[in-house]
Amino acid sequence: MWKYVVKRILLICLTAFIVLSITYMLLQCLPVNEPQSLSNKIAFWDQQVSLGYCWKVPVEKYNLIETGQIIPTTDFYDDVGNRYAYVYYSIIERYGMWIFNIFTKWDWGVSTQIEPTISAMQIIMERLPVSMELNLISVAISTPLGILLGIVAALKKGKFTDDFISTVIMIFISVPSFVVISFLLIWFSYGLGWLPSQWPTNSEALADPTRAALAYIIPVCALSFGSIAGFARYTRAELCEVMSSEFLLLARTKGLTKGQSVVRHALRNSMVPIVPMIISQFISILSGSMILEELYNIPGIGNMFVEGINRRDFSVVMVDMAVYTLIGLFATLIVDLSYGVVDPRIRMGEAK
Amino acid sequence: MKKTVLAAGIVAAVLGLAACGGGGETTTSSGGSSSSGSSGPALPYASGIQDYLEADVETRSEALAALEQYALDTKLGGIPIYDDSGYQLFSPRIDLPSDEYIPNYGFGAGEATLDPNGTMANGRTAAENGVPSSTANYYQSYATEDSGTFNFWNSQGEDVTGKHGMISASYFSVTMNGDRSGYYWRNDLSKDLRPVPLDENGNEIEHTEGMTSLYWRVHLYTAADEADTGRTFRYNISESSSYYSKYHNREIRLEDYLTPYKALLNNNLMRASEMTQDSSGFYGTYDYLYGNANTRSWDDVGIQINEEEGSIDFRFITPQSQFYAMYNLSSSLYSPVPEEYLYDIGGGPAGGYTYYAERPTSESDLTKYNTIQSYVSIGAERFGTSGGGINYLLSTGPYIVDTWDVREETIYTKNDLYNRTNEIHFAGYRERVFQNDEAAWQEWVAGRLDDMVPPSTHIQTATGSGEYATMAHRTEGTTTIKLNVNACTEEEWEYYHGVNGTMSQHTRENYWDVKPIMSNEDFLNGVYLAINRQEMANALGRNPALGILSEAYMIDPETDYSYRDTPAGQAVIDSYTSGVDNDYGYSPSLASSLFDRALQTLLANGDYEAGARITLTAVWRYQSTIDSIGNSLKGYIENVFNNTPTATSNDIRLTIKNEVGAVGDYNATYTRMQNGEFDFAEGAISGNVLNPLEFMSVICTNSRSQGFNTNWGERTDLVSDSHPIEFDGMTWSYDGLYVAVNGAAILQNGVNVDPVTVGEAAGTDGNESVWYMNTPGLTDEDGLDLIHYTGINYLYFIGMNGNSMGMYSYTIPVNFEGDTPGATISAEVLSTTIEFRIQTNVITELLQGLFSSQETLTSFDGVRIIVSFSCEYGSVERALAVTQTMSLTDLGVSSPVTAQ
Repeated sequence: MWKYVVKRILLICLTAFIVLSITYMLLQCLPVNEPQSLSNKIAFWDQQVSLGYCWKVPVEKYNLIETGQIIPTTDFYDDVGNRYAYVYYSIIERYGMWIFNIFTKWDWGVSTQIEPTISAMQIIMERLPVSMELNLISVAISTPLGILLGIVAALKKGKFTDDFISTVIMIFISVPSFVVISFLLIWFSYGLGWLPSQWPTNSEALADPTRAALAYIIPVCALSFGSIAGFARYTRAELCEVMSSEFLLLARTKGLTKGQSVVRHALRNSMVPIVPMIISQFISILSGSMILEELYNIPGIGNMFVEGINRRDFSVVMVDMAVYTLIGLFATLIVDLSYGVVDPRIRMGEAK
Repeated sequence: MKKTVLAAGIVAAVLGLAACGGGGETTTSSGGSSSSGSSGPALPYASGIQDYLEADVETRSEALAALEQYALDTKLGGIPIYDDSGYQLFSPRIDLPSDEYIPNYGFGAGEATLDPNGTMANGRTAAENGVPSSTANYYQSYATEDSGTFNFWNSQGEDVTGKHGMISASYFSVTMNGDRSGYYWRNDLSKDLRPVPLDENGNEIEHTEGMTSLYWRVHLYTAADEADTGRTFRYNISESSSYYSKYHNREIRLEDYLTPYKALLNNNLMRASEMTQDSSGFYGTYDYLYGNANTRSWDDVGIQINEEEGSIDFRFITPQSQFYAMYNLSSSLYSPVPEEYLYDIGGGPAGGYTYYAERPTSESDLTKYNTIQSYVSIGAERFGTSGGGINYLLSTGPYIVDTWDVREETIYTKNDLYNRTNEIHFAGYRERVFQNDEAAWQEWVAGRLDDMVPPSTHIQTATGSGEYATMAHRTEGTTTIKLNVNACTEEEWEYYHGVNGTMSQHTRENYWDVKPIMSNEDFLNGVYLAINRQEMANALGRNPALGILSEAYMIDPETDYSYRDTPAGQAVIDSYTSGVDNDYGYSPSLASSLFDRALQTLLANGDYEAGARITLTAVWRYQSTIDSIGNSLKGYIENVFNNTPTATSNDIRLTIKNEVGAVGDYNATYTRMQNGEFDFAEGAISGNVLNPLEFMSVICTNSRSQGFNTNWGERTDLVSDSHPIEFDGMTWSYDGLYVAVNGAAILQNGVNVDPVTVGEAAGTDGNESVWYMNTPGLTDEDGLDLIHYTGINYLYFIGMNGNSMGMYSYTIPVNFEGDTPGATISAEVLSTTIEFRIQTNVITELLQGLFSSQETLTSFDGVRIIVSFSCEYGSVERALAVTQTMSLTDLGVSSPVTAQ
């Protein structure tokens, strides 16, 4: 078992390395957003130098430009004839420096746009708890609710209750969370004014804890609806299948009531695929929170991801990407391991 | 019909845009190859040295009008649509000093008063609306952008200017005048109302009206002046900062004023490049910034502390008038900071700081000095950043930062140690950050904000009987939204963007399909008149724009005199509205007539045939812009054009295809515009409103390579055939006049020329080789040279074949007076040339001494000679560099030459 876990962790590291490497190179392939004005343009290129992406051709090497032995990425003059020639390092060179800094100094680079000069790792780590908190609350709410709805629908299969729940489930599955939050915002915040329209600032939260608590409702609802629907659908499907199985019929014939047979046998068996799904839903919620955080001004890592891409703050994007990748990969490991907890017959890593 | 044609003719004549030749044919651009028309200009060409830098306001306004008129007539400034004016809402509890918008100043919100018991937009108090009680009596503002830093030195974010301004004082600042109708400049940290001009020896000289100077002095207040002034010159920082005990109430000292300049240049922070630019930069900063860190010296930089005078003495790169010297030094970028503070936040150990006025001399001192400098450098980068919370936010300004949650909110409290603290009317200032305008709007509706710029979707609430109309104040715009135009002929496009394009290069298969109709003036004038800019502006809460420059551009910023209010500025607008029955240049009937005449010309020239389907491509950054602007413009233009008699009778249809440059990357739209790959495009133009004459550089052809203006058409460096600029009794090219009004210009036949250009190599006789640099050879009436060349240097760059490439540079001073004893190279100024005689044996000896023995001269391509020197003419002192490449054969050097 431990051997299996260690092996999986090593594979996770390798996968994360490959994913991040490809992401880094693709980001570096994006065209340069060179500012328009001359002073900003010079500042931009000097910043690229300080970030280690390129180097400025010194005066004594201008002749190499003339002879074509140095091909500058950009080469321009200011109004008084000063020359500015810069050469990008190749992507492989930039990648090598990036990897070197991570492995030797745990230096993931600094933010260039979001919080200039601040460590990208620091920015993400400061915001990670907010995202995690929201996502865990959402999972904590959506899991029991979804399972409960699924059980009710399965037990009332073919009746109005089942039809109603199934219809609602289909709607919630179909509508993305950012549409839900927009709807909730327009209705409950902008319209009725019952709930805050923005995530409260720290000073607001301290001054009015009730308002701070109410601020959770919209994002948690938006994050949970899809998840509740997912749980309900799977629970209903699994439970319906188990309910029609022969061993349950046997249990009933042995004298168990319907409730006893459902609780003791049907539910336990149907939970095998559903418990791992909790972790999958957590990942799903995590990725779904990106746009939601942006819309509700939640200071989380999802917000940073969108902002980082929009503003081309690649260091922040890479750290954010690393967090998402590692959470996703470790989640799959936990999912696999959880099978064994739910169903002791399943043993990961055992010889066949 | 007849009446319409007549009216069109009148308008065309009034506009000065219609054909001036016989037969009603339209004259288009010459293709940019000629500097003069066949019949010559009505006025003589401008020539010699022309310098209007110190001209009076009237003359400068006329020059600016001539430049703007040209930009409009040729469409090189695009076709203006509306400006970015709009509405600003203020809550009822805010009492503004002025209800009228003051261009470049606003309503004076910073000088407003706030009634703590007053109501917000929803009629309730801020506290009742959920604003924390601790800050409910603070001014409640918002932002939709947060650069995440206060470090103005190291950021390009536009919002940083405002954030940093809240906690920093500057040498000079603006404040509202007594009757609250305008504003004026005053000294803040400067003791002098204006900078004091100096001569080149550092002696103060008397300032005379209109004078310019390279050298200026600013006497500065320090804590030592508190008793005399009754004001406080001290730093402050939040009480919860770990640096409170050390820097709260710390006095401002003279050396603190030098810290920002050194921080910028020593560390090449992002705004250091602003200090190297000719318009506002300082002498020696480029060399210092990019020079060797071990050998560069602050003594060579034009920013020096003068202990005796209690001042900083500045040497600018280009001459400055007193106003612009003050303006350029008024940035909060140069607000004082103790170097010791940078050392502390840079992580320097406590008690380890020793101030070195000059570089230390002993080795131990040097080590210590370098250690200190490294802490200071780290501190310069950390200054104002979020890494240390509020620890990195030292204040000399009206407020101190009490709370800072990046991208959430910033809470400022009044700085009791600010030098004008009695002028601060708010107990504090709270700025929240929202991700979008709609979120901010909802907070305004909920009564939690004191000001708001309503999004376009809610603009109706600020107008007429709208819900917030009584709280709305009309603002004036500074940016002109316009339609960019690619008016190139095929020849012009080839010149700019062809295989050997001067601006961008395209392979032949990627050439843009240049449409003949786009270079037809009647068509473009028709487009101008076909746009109902009033309707578009009203829909968006804007003001229609007829010219390139809005009301905000000041021809005399000292007296707050708008260029648009001058007779010359008004005449430009009149030229586009005279004869048009609409104040905003909208006349579908006249546009139809111009379109009709354009089509007749194009058909007669064989550019189009009956049944033609003309598709023009309009490029935009976003789909939303197409929805708000592009579709309206398409409708206006197509409707008029396709209903003209010639179009209908010849079954010609015009279609404007609106498209986004590239989805998800708006810069791709700029790239297309810069590369001339469009017919129409989205445009906006704004610049330094206090120096519009300098701003007009955006129209110059060579500026277009930098993307400042992406309209294409005739070359501005030549005198236009169709629109020659007439000013001050002379005929000018656009560039010529632009240079002359911003300094001295050297003109030949109206065209601005360089003081020197590379000439021909005259060959070699084996002993010496001769080559020339050409000069304009201008002399005054007494035959004396008008251009003075000084400080000449040579730099040799010697190339090698193969993979190894050597570079060797030599600086050999040469004097122009004649033979220099012992000199190896002689130079002589002739009437129109500078002659260089390079002695073959000297080059040979030079090469022999330069390279190692395994190399021979056969491995060298030749010699590249860069001659750099200064020249002076009028008020201008320029550094120039000219490159001449000469092969060994050209030089008469026999090969191989074995190294000695």
